Amino acid sequence: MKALLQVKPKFREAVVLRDLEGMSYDEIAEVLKVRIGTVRSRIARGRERLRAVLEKTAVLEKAVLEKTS
Amino acid sequence: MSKLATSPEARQELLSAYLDGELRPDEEKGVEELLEREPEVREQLEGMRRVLGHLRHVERLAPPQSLDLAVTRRIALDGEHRSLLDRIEDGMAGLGGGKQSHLLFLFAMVIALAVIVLFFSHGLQQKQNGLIPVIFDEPPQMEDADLTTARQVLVGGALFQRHEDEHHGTLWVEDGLSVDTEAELVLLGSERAEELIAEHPELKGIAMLGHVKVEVAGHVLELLDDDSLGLTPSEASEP
Repeated sequence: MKALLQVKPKFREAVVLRDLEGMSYDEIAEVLKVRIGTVRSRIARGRERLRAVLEKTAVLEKAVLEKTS
Repeated sequence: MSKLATSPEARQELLSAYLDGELRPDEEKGVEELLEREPEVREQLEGMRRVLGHLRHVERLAPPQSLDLAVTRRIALDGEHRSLLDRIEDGMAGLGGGKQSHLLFLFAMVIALAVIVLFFSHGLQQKQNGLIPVIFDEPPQMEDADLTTARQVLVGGALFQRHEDEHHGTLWVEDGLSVDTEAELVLLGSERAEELIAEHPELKGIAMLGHVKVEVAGHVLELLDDDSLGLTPSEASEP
């Protein structure tokens, strides 16, 4: 998923550990050596950034499809 | 739920954690109440769910099979290159002693090391005191030795020990012989000496020691020069 590359590394690593590796917030906090509040914040911001990128991509794809059809 | 009302970022955090089931019960209850009341929040939550749906379709990468083989090979090689100490320790552990055996082994090693150090330090001290003349040093060749003080010398590959007493004076005795070994007495410079040296040229070098007991072709000779003869009290006292 190329959209993930457009998320800042510190947010991306939290999202990957949670959504791809299935780790709990406690485990992620231990791995990244940060507090649980920070984990929660980074995951939320990473997901939000990802949502924005996906939406933008979807809009662009739609525009290209409309133009070509 | 004041955070939900005042900060979009805080609301986002709560919704994200709500989807993960990582909220405290009171926070969870607050989010659910808000979701019932606010369609906008429900929409935000759905947006997040879609993102999670995308993430779940991301293909998981698996390490190549060659990595597994490389790791296995590396482990095997490490095993072969382990130190002897590690292997001995493993062997001790295998005997069933476990940690106690391990400690015992280390203790034994320390004691053995201490004994070795003591042995060598004692030996060096003895050597310095002249009590054991030759343990650590290679005997000197005759050309390199000070014959007035050397306790043994090498001549043509044969080892000669210095012997001194009132009767013989200074006598160099070939290793394997003793002072009392019966020998043919040969005065250096005599015809017999010349004959022997012609027959056994190695005697020429050995004769440089002055007074020497040596075995040649199974025959023991006591070579003696004029000086040695003069120094021998028994010879000197003869009329």
